[in-house]
Amino acid sequence: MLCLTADRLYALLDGDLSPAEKTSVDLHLSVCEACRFALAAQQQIAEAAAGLPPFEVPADFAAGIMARIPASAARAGSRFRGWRIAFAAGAATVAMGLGLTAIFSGRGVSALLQDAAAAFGGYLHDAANFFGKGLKVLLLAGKIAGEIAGQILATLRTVAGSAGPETQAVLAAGSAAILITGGLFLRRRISVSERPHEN
Amino acid sequence: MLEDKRSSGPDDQKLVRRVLRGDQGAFETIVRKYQQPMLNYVSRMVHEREMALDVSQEVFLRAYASLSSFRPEYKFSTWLFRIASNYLIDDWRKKKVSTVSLDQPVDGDDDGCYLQVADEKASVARDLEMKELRTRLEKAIERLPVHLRELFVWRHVTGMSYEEMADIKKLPVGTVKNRVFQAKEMMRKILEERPCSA
Repeated sequence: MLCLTADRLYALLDGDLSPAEKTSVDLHLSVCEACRFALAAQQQIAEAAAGLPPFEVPADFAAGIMARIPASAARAGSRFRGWRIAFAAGAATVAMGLGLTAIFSGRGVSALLQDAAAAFGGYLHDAANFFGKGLKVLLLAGKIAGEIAGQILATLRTVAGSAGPETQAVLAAGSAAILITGGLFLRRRISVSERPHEN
Repeated sequence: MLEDKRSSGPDDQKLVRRVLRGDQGAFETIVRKYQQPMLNYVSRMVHEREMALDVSQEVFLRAYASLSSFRPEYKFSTWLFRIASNYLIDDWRKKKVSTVSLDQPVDGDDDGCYLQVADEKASVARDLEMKELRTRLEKAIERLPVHLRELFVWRHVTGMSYEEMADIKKLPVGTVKNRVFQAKEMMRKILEERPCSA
């Protein structure tokens, strides 16, 4: 038999040779010192590699990773879970209430549900009335505000028309300052609400 | 095999499901489970301790960010090490380190590479004590081309099976075996060089 090729040597080391092949290889190794050396060298390399010292992991390695995970990512999950728990608790309470009422009143669950639906319909009707009236009040308030704004504008126009160029410039600068301040205030409020949560 | 060595505690699929439900503690369990093999691998690929820590951190963070794309029919360890391998390849490409494409055939992938019979005088089996051999082995690993180094480390340091490595690299098992053989042959030649010329 010729000397071992690399793939046969590694197949021997990996235990991938058939019994017949292994017998043949063993026979060759018993008479070939060079192949025995090659085999021993590879066994020694594998043994040394398997015994290399492990990397010393810092005690706070995992904590460091967890600290870098955005809190919002975790909160999104827990918020979703919180809603599910609240929904489940609400559903369970309603079911339990219905069951107990059915037991104590001696009426069927379907009759109770019909009553509840009728009551709910009544509430909906009342709520619609309430919102309708609220809307009317809002429209009236808008109309009054519009009239007041019209009066203010007319007064300003009269004052501006009768004033000199210096007074007109002061009025224009004052209006611009009010508009800019209002704009900055609104922008700050928006940027604060969009800032990511910190740990 | 990678999984067998750390099979205690809840299994990976359950941990992943818990993380996806918002349980961050489950992800910390995953990190603690895989931090040692991950750092054993990454540290042998980048050679600098701080860089190994940074890269491994990034790998775990990438895994967290894309956990919803993990498909439970695959092994988590395979998925995690694929992220690490891709991260390192991307990093090397950015730094213009020479790498061999995973799709590109490597010399000797198909040909049976013939054993260079060890010279008796130079054989590593003769003189080197195991401690010295380990020291030289660490240095020799650095000299392997990255595509062979990775497979050598996975096979012989991390203890992965050929099948796991083939899954990670999406290569046939035979190709992976052949590349590991090449790595070992190269390693033997490096180790047989005189220490003063290394």
